[in-house]
Amino acid sequence: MTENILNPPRASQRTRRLRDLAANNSTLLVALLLLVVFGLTASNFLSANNIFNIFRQMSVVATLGIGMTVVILIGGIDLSVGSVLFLSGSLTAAQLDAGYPITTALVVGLGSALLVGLLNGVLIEIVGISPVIATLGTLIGVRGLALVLINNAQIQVTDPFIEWMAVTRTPGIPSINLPGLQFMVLFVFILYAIMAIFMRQSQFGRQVYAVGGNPVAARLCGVPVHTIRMLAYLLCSFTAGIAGILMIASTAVVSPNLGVGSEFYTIAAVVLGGTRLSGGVGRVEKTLLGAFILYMVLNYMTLRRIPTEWQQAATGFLLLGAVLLDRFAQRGRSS
Amino acid sequence: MMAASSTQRRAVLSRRINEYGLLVALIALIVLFTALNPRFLTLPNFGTLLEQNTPLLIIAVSMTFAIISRNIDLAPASILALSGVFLALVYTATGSILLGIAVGILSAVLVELFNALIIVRGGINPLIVTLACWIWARGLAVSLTGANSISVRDPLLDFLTRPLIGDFSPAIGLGIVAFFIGVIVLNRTRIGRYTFAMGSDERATIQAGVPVGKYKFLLFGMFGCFVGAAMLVTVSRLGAAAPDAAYGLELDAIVAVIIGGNPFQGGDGSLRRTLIGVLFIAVLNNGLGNLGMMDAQIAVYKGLAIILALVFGALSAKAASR
Amino acid sequence: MSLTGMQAWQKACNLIIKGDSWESSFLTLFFGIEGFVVESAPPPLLDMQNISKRFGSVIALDQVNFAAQRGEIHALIGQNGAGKSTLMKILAGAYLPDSGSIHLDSIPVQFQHPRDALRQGIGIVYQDLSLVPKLGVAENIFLGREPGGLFIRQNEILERAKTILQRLGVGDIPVQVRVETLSLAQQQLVEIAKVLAYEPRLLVLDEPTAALAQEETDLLFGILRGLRAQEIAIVYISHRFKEILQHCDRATVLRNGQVIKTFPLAAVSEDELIELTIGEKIEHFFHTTQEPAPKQETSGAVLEVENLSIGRAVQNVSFALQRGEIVGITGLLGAGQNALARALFGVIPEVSGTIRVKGQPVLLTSPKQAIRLGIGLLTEHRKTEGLVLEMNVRENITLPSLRRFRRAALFNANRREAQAAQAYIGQLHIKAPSMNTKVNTLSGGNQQKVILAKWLLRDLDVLIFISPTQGVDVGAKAEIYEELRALAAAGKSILVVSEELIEILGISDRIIVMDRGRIGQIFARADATEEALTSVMQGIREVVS
Repeated sequence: MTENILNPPRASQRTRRLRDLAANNSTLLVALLLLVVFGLTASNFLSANNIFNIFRQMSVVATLGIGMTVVILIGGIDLSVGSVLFLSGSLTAAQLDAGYPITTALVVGLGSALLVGLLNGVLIEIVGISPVIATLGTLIGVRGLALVLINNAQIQVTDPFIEWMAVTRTPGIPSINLPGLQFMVLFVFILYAIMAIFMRQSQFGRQVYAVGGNPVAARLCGVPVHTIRMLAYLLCSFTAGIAGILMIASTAVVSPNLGVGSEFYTIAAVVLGGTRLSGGVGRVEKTLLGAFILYMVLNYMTLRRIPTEWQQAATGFLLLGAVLLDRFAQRGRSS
Repeated sequence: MMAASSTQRRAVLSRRINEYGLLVALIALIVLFTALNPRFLTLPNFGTLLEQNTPLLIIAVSMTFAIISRNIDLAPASILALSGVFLALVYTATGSILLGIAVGILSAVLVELFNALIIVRGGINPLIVTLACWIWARGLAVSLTGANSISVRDPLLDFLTRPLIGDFSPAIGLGIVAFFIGVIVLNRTRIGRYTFAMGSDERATIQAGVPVGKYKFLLFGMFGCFVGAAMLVTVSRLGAAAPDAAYGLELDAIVAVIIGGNPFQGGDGSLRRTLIGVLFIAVLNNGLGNLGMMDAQIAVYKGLAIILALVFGALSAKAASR
Repeated sequence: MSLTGMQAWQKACNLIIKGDSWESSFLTLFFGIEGFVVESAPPPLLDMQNISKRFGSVIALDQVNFAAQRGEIHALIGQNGAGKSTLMKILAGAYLPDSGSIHLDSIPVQFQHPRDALRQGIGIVYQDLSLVPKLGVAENIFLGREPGGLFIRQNEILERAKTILQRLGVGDIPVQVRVETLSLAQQQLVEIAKVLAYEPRLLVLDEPTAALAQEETDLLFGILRGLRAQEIAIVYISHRFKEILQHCDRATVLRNGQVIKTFPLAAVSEDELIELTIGEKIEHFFHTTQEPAPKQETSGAVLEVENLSIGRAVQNVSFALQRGEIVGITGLLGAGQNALARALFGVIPEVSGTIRVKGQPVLLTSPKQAIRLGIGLLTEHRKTEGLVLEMNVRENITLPSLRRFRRAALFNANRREAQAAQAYIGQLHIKAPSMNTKVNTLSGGNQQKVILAKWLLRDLDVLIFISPTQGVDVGAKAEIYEELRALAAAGKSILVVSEELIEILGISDRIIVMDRGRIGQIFARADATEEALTSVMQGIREVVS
């Protein structure tokens, strides 16, 4: 019902634009605000070392967030990413442990992740089970499957490539106290860059937003809705597979509880990044920001010696606060 | 008029298939497990099975309301842990188990009401709100206990899980009572009626003049009561309040409700179906465990069974609607 | 004072038409006493006076007087946009009038909320039913007012529901079944029962027979007559003149937000009703002297339909669409034209009969396939079916054509895409701050143009439009019509489904009039008039040209 008001007075046009700008970039503003506040109240928070630390800690969830964002954009959800992460990581580790070369191990790990993605896609789009329930089923089954396949062993990962990924950093600049950035983190950033551009520029990306925003209209435009959704679930499991590799690179030991609960933190990161759970609105790159905010808060609490137990509670409240804030911002805009 | 009644008959028939299908599978499962391990079908084992899964039953009853009304609740397990911690803290501080129980249950109710407040007044998706609660409630439980369990040994509470009649403890009775309370509320009371109405078509329900917000508060308050009851059983069984208690219970509850045949989109459902779903999960867990399998293998078979049940349910629903 | 013969005759006619009782007309005529009112006419149950309502710059209602008596069925007639639904929404308490008053039994009332109207005894049955699908019949009837405290007295609900349905004469609808298993007609009856359970003094029905078959309509009117005998006032909103003349007592005709006339239906003919409803509209953007667009030489039709049937909605429809031709399809609500249009785009799979595109028989199963065959569809629901509201103008325009802009290098295609979108923004004069503006901020007319641009960019052979200018301002309407004509001149084939007869008459080369699922008649433009079209639509008679 909004009519275009032609030629409004200049001042209110400017303030409206400012307000829109603020609302659209609220995540960024919140991140900057927190950076400032935290930087002022905790020594060493703003040191490059610490910031790079945050990057490293958020790598896994951030990677999970790439695929999760796409799935949420099409209006679905994937609760199985934690289990898929475990599957790919443990299978890769097992292969390496058994002496296979790194390439084979990676193919096995990532391939298994893709298979789970295919399963999810089939259950949801072809059989017609709702996404929450279907991925709940795979969550339960896949972790167990992985453990069975690796015989419940706790595997140590000692492959040179993995170690190289985990340990290598870019050359730092000692003179200004700039440490090297870990390759793992760099890898995640590059992945995000690729995905962000892909989602913005490709046919698939455009179709994802259409399917999530209005599946009926998308179908009437000839967009293959079911195919796009299936691809989204495939992509989500694939990035979970990548996250699994990153996980074993950072922890070096595969233990049965690896990645448990990570789906919830991933969803939190996606929501913090401003993507709507109902679909159609959001950006992949913002999830990176969301993950950063999440881990920034956790890091700050550690620096201030708040016991780790309280950190989980704080995370939950943070999510609530962010969502409420976003809701009020939206309401204010539409009035 | 003739056309209408055949549609009605088909709808009823499809529902019956859904219900009895799983019942048949359940019986087949019991037979299978007994064949594999005769000790399965003994009273002591069943006593354990039922008591182990009483919290699941109670939470599943609550979750049934949540799913039917389209207000999914991911938080009950975390709230259970948190309220257990409150019980333990009060008990340790005052020595009164009654006070502890009161505070414990009250805390569960208050947390759920807090969630309801954000959902109703904030207009936020229940999934996110209860997801956040899933995170912070357990976090709070861990913080308050320093990640340690707090021992709670009191004759009144212990009585709940000590065998009373044969191998069956009063906790099972509590579960049955909770179940029947759920049945009565769902089918006979206003809250139950509006649960179905809200889940089927919230707009029409509001248009009919029903104060939907008020009833959402009531629903979540009720969830809190159920969580409190489940908490009592859990703490009694463990003899302690553990911050990681009931981890993953909400997922089991959701699965139980859905494979029992309640549609995820809501508006429809029955507690009878949930009961079968709970029994199915219970038998699956217990039976597989009795076979001496590792947790991992149990998870695989469990996952497989769940997926099969879901696929069967979805396909039979599709066939019935043709 | 006695009146001269002519004046007396005119006065008498006025009095009779205004609906005063015949006694007072007689007395006035013969005794020259003005305004002599015999006490046989009770004050109306509902008296709406001088109701005005405007939305922004659009005047929806202008000094409308509307009254309904106890024990009468009063038809409210008017074309789309005449103001009927606005008037009823004000009555229902959904809108507040800008000015005017409402009296119920001579007591002034004000409604702030739909529940107020209900409590005051006004029951409205809307077109989109507000039943909860998975609840039972009895449960729906008593939703929100269940007897009992904490525990609902279910038996009482079942009993009372049964009684209500029996009193309505539809006791055979089982009360325990879910309403979603009932037929549409039965659901409508349950909705009426639900409203009646509030014991209203006034019952308003909005297009209740649009989706009903003949027997169901008869049943409904049987019920209404029963209610009328119980002294309930009934307002009946409908387009169907046959029914109105058969069953209603009085009628009020609205046109452009004003009351044209209120009159008893006893001696009125169908033709007179048609004349009153259509009236004279001066549509300045249709030149009455128009050169027919130069036709392309056609050999074989672009789209042929043979014996097409879609369930109960469409039966045995056959026609052909030539190149460069604009064919208009019109009919009453529910006559099947919408279903037909959708079936030609692959949206409705259960279709029997033959469809041929450029001579080849095809089975249209999906929009994607239809688009590949060169067919596009613009529906009447632009926000829910035509646009992705969260995307901007450019993205919406290019959505069906993404393949064309596939990238070799990353940045080239962006420019091509923007240029293509800009071309159509310019051609159609789409008013938006920029092509990156989100479409949900655009006006209705501009949104419609975006949808049009989307299909133009795809370069299709056949374009199907449903209600292309619904809710669009006059200026944008003219531009859309111009564009349609240009498309036809360029060789595209266009089907326009619309309820606006002026629109159909203005742009079509041929007009198909649907009546209850079948083709009533196909007119060439030269032979078509509003009266002719309306007659066929109403099933009154076939016009022999």
